[in-house]
Amino acid sequence: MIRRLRRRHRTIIVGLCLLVPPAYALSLATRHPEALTTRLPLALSDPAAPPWQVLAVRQVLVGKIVLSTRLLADSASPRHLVLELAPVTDPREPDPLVYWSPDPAPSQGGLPAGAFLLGSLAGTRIRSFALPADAVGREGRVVLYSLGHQRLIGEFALATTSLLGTGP
Amino acid sequence: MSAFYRAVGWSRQKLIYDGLVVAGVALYVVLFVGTSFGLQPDITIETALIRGLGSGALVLLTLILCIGPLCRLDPRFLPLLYNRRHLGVTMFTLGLAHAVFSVIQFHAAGDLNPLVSALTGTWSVPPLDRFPFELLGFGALLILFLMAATSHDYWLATLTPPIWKALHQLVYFAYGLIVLHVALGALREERQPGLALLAGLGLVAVFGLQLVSGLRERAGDREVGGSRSDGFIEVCGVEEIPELRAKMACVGGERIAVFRYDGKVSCVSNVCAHQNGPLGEGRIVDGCITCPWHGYQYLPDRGSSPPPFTEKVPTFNVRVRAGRVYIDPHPNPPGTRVEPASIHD
Repeated sequence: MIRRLRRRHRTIIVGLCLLVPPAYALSLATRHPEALTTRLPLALSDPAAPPWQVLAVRQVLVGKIVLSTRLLADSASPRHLVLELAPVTDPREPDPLVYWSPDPAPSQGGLPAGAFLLGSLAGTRIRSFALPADAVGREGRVVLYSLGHQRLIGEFALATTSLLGTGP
Repeated sequence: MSAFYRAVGWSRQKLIYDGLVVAGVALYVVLFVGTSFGLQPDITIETALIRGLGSGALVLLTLILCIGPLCRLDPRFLPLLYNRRHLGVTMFTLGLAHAVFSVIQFHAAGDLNPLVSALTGTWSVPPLDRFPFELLGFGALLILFLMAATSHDYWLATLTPPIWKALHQLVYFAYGLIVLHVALGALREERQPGLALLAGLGLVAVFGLQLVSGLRERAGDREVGGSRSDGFIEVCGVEEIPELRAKMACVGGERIAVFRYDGKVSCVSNVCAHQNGPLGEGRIVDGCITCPWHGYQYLPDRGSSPPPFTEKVPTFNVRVRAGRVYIDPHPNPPGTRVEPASIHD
């Protein structure tokens, strides 16, 4: 009676030993790398970092959100671009995310294919986003997407070709 | 142990035990929330509380699962076992509070029923980043609810100890589900290596201790191979049994406990009628075999609890010949009196 219970107990433990620790390790091993934007503010705030050159300043209306934007380039490495966004008005959108899309044509309602996630734009504080290497020297668009509502908030064109003078 | 029904047989020890548990849990949650605010100033009180309750439940479950094997390996841990069920109910309460607060915090503000939202929100299995870890926690909570609801002695007596214990062995599956719930949930976002390391250490402690004690128990299940005489099997020498204690042996597929006391030897089943505790690891107190787990008592020659108590365990016929103890492997019905064998025969 009790001996059978002990045998079953041993079987359960051995079985779980073979299943749970490997599944735990697999889960930790497959964690995606941290978002790129978490690295950027460090670079910008690093006093030892080279000065940032302002390439363009403008104010845009994205949906109902007024954004003050600055495009910055690393003086030492001009192809390293940073987009700075400062909401002038509260976005009032749940979980707004910022994407860069290589497609210069306006989006057809949904998130464009191949859109590159830059980061989150929650709140009204100034955010800085590192643009991907593909964004250098070409025309693209910056897209705001509400994760909470699963819909496009708005977008604006971002052309870096003329600013840098050469194509990729 | 009580002769009449009482919802909870409170004793001074239980009150102290429960007081320490409640104080420990409260201290843990307060320290966790305080430390969270220190390390992450942006965190909200709701999030800190949800994490504190959830991690508190996991820590408590890890401790609960370590108590059993620790007691098998070292009897000094037995006081922790005495009221383990209250520890389990406390752990379930923490887990339930974690689940309820999480559902309210993350799923109650939408159009969808909060429970439906919680259990269907992340159904996309691959990649693991969006694994529905909430389902794992929900499954574990169901098992823990079942265990907490049947934790009372009423259910132990109604279901019988073997079925009750089989039911409560589900706790190991609940633990596996919770570990994966944490790994595929909180640990995918929280990158501090210390958290993953702590959860991993808990995993190693639980399964390591269970494996070691399980292997040790396996050795105790080997049948005695002593000589036979008139159907009696030789199990040990009288001098191998300490006074007022027992020598355990495996006879006829089950363990028996041979007790020595007052120049006599008696033999009973090793399985306590209450919760199948190991009587042979107990000792004779006030003339009664006393179970080390919860203090249930039996007269060594009768295998029955002293009146007015009614618990009974099987007894075995016993002989002593030339300083060796012989046992009839066929058990007598529970509570049958057997004349003790004199060790001077």
